[in-house]
Amino acid sequence: MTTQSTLWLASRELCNPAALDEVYLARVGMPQELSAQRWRCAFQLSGPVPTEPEHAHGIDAMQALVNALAGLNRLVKGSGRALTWLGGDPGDSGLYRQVPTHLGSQFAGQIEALIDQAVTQKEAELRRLTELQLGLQRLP
Amino acid sequence: MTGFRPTVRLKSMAWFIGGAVIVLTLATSPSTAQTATDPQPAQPVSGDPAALSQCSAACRAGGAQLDSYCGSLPTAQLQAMCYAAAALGEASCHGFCYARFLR
Repeated sequence: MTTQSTLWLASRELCNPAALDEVYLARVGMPQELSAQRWRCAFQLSGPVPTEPEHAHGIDAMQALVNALAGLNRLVKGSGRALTWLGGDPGDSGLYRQVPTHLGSQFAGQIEALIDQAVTQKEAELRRLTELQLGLQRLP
Repeated sequence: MTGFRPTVRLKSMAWFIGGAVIVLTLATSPSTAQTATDPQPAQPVSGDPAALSQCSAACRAGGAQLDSYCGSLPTAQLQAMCYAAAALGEASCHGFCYARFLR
């Protein structure tokens, strides 16, 4: 599959805060069925230096797409640059690691539970801080 | 001076007994420093080390060879796990192999 023949599904421009004239394009393609239970999905991080698209595979279109996003995240993180989306914090590409599924559903469930726990903790902490701040503001 | 001797003997006996208990505990404990620094090799569950070797070789090769390997696995679940590992890179791919073939 070449760049010309790839039908790109979604793309995102990323900038390099260390070199503002450098613009990178992260994109994922439309999943393609190769055979029964065999799909692939192109993904690419292109920048000042041209690159060839890579392909993630899956047993259906959804998995190929999810794996392509995981692959794209790997390329962004592995670029060695703090690639940034829409002027956000340096290094915030908006692409983050997904819950890994390659070590089995039990482990994936554990990771998911840890994420949920951390999110709940953070939200509770923010609520306490906000309440505290509002309480202090109400003091005479 | 003679009044101190029984105390000294008692202290010496206490040190001796304490030391003996520690030595015996270390000698019989399965989690001693020796086992921590000299781990036993992992035992294959599948009984087929060649299959693990094949998986690892596919990880090292990457690309089309790895995709082909994932597609050749016997169940859709294993194929899905393999494809997911392949997208994450070689280290994760080896992790998938160990998870599948090792205890």
